[in-house]
Order: sequence, then C-alpha cells, then structure tokens
Amino acid sequence: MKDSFNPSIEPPKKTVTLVSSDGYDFEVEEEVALESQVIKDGFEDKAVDDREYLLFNVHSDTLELIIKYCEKHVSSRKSISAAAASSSSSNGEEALKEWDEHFISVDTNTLYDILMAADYLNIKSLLDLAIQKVADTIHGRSPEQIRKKFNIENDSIIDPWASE
Amino acid sequence: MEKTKEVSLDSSRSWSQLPGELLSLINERLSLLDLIRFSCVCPTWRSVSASEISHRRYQLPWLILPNEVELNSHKEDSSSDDLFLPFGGIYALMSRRHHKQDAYYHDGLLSFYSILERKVYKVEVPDRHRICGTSFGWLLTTGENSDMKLFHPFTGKVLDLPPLQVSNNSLRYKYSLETGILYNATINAEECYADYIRNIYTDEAVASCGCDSSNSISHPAIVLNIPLLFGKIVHKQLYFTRPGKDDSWIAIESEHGNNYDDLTYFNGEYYALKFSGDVLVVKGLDGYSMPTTSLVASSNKFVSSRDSFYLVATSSDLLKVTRTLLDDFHATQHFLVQKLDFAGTKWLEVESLSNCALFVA
Repeated sequence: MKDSFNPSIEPPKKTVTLVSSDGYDFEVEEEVALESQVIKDGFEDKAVDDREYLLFNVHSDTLELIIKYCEKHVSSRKSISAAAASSSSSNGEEALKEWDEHFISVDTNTLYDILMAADYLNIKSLLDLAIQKVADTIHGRSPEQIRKKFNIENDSIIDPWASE
Repeated sequence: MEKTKEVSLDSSRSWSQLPGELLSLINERLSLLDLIRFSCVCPTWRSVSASEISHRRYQLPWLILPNEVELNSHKEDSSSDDLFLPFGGIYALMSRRHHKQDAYYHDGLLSFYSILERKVYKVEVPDRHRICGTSFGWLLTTGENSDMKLFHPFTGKVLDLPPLQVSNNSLRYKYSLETGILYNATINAEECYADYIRNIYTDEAVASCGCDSSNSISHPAIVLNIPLLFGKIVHKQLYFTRPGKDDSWIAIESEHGNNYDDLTYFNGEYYALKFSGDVLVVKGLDGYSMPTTSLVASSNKFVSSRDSFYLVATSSDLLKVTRTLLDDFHATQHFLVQKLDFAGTKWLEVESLSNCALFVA
C-alpha cells in the first residue's frame, strides 16, 4: 500500500487539561486553550506533559461555555482565512458575529460568570463581548430597573438600627 | 465529561462588587444618559462612574432646545436667527422667533441636542417652570410666582429653594421676557449633590436619636447675579442661599461696590467679575459668618462702553473674555481672552485655547 499524503488524516492534536474550580477535568486542544492570554503567557516554558491548568476561579458550568466559545472562534478563524485564501466569498465574520450574539444572550448570573472568567483568563474578545452585553442591558433602563435586572440591593441608605 | 450540578453560585455573584476595572470598561460603553443612571444604582457604581462623568463634562455640551424648534439631522444649517446662550455646562439654543414665549419646556418635555451624536434627547420634567441657569447638570428654574427650584433632568431630583423676592427693585420674571435670560446662576454642587440631599435625610434621623452631626456638612451654596432696577439703571447684585440652611436669598455685601457682569465657579470658589473688569472672590459661603468678597485681580485696561466681559472657568484656568463691539454696536470687532495668573494676580493674554471651545453670547 502506497504511503501517500492524505489530507483528511490530521496528526494527533496536542491537548492541555483545564481543571475547573469544582474539580472537573476538561481536555481541550492546545490552540483552543491558547485563546486565553493567561495560558499563552509562559506556555512554551511549561513541559509538554505538565500542561494542566488549575482554574480556581472558574466553575465547570462556566468553563464549558468558555471552551465552547474558544472552539468556535478557533474554527471560524480557520474557515475565514481559508475562504480568503481561495478568494471565495464568505460571510464567516457575519455568521460569527451572529453566533456571538446568540452565545452571550444569557441570564445575568451566567453573564456575570462569563465576565469574571473572561477577565481571569484574559480572553480579550470574550471580555469585550460580555462588557458590551452588560452595557446593552443597562441601556435605557432606570436605576431601579437596573437594580432589579442585576439583583442589586439599594443599600445607599444604611439603617443604623439594623442588627445584622 | 460527566458531571453533576453543583451547589448554587448565587451567593458569590455580586454585580455591585464587580472589580473597578470591569466597571470602568462598562462605563466606557455607556452614553452619558445611561452613565448617569448607572451612577444612581449603588454607591460602588457611583464611585466608579464619578471620574468618567466629570471627564465627559469637558466634552461637547448638550444644547437645551426650545420646544417649538424641530431639528432634523438632515437640516443642519442653523438658520440665522438662532443664538446660543451660555449656561454653565449646558447651553441653551434659542430662536429669536420664539423667545418671547416660554421657550425652554412645556408639555412636560425638555429637549436636548447632542452636537456629537446629532441627536435630540427628550427628558420628562415636572411642572411648568422656566430655566434661568444651569450648573453641573442642575437646572435652576423659576415659576410664575418667583418660586424657585433646583431640578436635575436626568435623575429627576427636585429641590425647593426660597422664592426670589429679594427686593422691590428686582426685575424678576418680566425682565426675562424681554431679554430671554433672567439671572446668572452658579451652583457649587457638582455630582455630589444627590448625596447631600440624602445627607439632610439621614441627618434628621440621626439628630432625633440625640447626636448632632450637622456641623460636619459643608453646605452647598447657590449664588445668583440678579439684575435690580435703580431708577432707570440696571445693576446686578450677588445673592446666595444654602439649601437646608437658609430660608431666603441673602445679599452679598461688598466693600468694593456692587454691579457685576458675570459669575462663575472655579476650583471650589465663586468668582465674580465687576463691571469695571475687576475680579472678586466670594469667601465664607460655607461658614457661619456673613460671606465677604476680596479683590483677586484688578483690570489694567481702560473699559470702554463697547466692551462686555465674561468670566469662564475651564478645567485648568479662570478666563476673562472681553468682547469689543464695533462703533455702531451692531457687530463684534474682536475678542480678547486672558487667563488669571493667581500667583502674580494679573491677567495674561491667551493666544490659543488649544482643544477648548468657548460659547459666548
């Protein structure tokens, strides 16, 4: 059998392990993990068999979403640049934007978790997306409506007789 | 990946305790209107947004529109009979066709024009009052019986002030109909004003349980430059009131004589520009004795009847603008802009305003 190059068979992907704050392991492709600037910084210095990251601040629920986001962005970037190389028309960027919008349409608790995780892991595009979502949520709402939406108590007048 | 649902994370999620740098990033994405609402949500959010709000204060101001004028974005060429009136941080755009009517707002709506966004914002306002001055986003309004209020159009806060019955010589409302402008007014409240209103509230609560902390509050003061009629001569005199402390408008007596051209608030002090071109500072407004005035800088220029003066505070300087009219008084010949050198107590001519723009009317 002739040993010819077959583009459909890719070399085995290098992976890293991300461990959530509640102790779950997530094995992800290297390039997906590298979406995080924090992981990227000093990545090369780490031994290949020691590529495990303990993410003390990210719960497994949130980490799942973060990985989903990073995987989508890595694959979209590839197809967009492939389309550009073959100069075929592509609405990849448009589609990704739509996907992002759908991705970030979550309740404010989840949005909070994504925001904090994106900040902790330093994923610039996701942080931008989450910040914009918060700004959009605030837009046009009265202070009282904002408090309700984000579950903030109006503690500006402190009751001196409150015991606790 | 197999996993079971963990305990709820709700207790650790606190939007009000979001790190300052994230709140700042959110602030940058908000329009001024949203930013002001944002600052009212909770103390943490307010402390983060204060610097962003004060930074934006030095950006292009919004113009107050007379309600009758429809400004469309495609019809930008302002007709020749519109004029600008400077009112502290906000500027009023008036049309001469309408200025004999109650121009600023009626039907419960006040319109602002954002030059930057080319957009008209309409804000709901309480009852029929006429705006006679603005400072730090607050509008000073007067009703038909000379009753006065401080009104914040974005937070909706209203504060009653003593009625303006300072003297039988006061020109009051009638005067305003002829000139379109009633009084120069300046308030030293800045954005902490809402806190102050709340302080009055908590103070009463504290006083009723036996401890008096009212001495620790520095009272914001409102100073007016009110035109008074002496025979056929109009003189403008300074009056002040401190909400929550004074129940009337009190004249500021000055050994340097009265009659002021302009008044502004700069670096925590009130400055008044005399008709002669001298500048005085008003001292003692938050103390318990009567306020006094002292001379800051005298004018070294011969004052002609064709000159009019304006006092303008920028973020860094106190400026005196002299407008000299042509001999026939119908057009401006030139402007002279000087800044005060506080150390040398003299005026230095300003060649360039760099990134600043002044509205002078």
